[in-house]
Amino acid sequence: MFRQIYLITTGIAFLISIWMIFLWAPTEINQGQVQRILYLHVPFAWASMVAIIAIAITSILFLITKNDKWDNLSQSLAEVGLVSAVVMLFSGIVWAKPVWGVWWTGEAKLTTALVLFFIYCAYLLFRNYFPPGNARNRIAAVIAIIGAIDSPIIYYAAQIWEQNHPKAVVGPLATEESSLSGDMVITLLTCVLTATLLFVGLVWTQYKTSNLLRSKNV
Amino acid sequence: MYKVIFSLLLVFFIFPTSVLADSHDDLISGVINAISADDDGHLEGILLMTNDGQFVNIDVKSGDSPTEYGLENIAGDRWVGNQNDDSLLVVSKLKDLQERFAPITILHTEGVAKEIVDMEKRNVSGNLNFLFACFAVAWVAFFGYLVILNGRIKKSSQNG
Repeated sequence: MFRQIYLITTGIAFLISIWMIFLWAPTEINQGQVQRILYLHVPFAWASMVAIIAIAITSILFLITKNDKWDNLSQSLAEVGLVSAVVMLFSGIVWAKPVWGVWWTGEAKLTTALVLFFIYCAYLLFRNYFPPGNARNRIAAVIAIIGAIDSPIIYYAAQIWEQNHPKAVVGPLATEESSLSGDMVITLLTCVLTATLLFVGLVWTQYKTSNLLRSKNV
Repeated sequence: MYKVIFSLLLVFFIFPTSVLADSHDDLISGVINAISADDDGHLEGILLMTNDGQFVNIDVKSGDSPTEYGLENIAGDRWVGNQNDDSLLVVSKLKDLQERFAPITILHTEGVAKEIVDMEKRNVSGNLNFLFACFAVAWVAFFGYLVILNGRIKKSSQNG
């Protein structure tokens, strides 16, 4: 029952977000339609950054308790985090071309975001190719804990290095100049909420499936 | 179950139609050809010569939802305000832009300006393909992952 309610809530939130992005949010005057990529980019960036922190926490719990459920949860989080990181990177690249005139620059925020993508890849590849067992799980946990350091660096990068990437538009780091206002911020927060619902739903589904497969040694 | 989902979807698609009627915004860019003001010197509208040589009359609005401005002087100092703040100041700022042939961009709804800024539109209408590409790839990645997950669920149930 809870699963069905969650699914319906997520579906409705998803549809509302799409409607808000394309029909309700006003067109930004300097960037035009391409600014709507923000409503995709920021929520998935949020998901990918939160995911690596969550993986670090579950990895620490695994190292302390030696309980495989935390390791399993870490892997599920990493998979969904990787998908989020891919969407974040691609949306950023596509936004940069019409606004900056280039697909990619070597500035701090972009580079650290790319590093996050590689951390996810390294974590999952390691788990996939290293022989299963306690050693693999422990080393993977250490990789995740070290990798989580990247998340706050990404978050503060635009503030610390002050390059082309726009500063935070919502949250504690948003300034009066950089913050969004009115309908745009409502749209963005709705999209962040939807991405969070999707993220939790996907992680939970993957976690349950993975548990089932493990219990059957598939 | 499906009836509930269908009803919710129906409400979802009917409700926004009233809002959609208000979403016919358009962006134009160009230089100011003339500024019209009333007897008291308050701004009424501007005649804009667009980038393709057309002349377009744009009215400004005060009261509820007034026309918003973001205008810079020659030194780069930016003034942000709206039509209710100081209409006389707006006229002087726009005259300054007119004298300098500085390009402005206007977001308007059927000839009534919502926002006026002194920056040239950078072919923003041509950005739709970027928007499409971005969302298309995002959905492919997202639904692709769902397909993979679905495969795993099937695999686990087959082995059960």
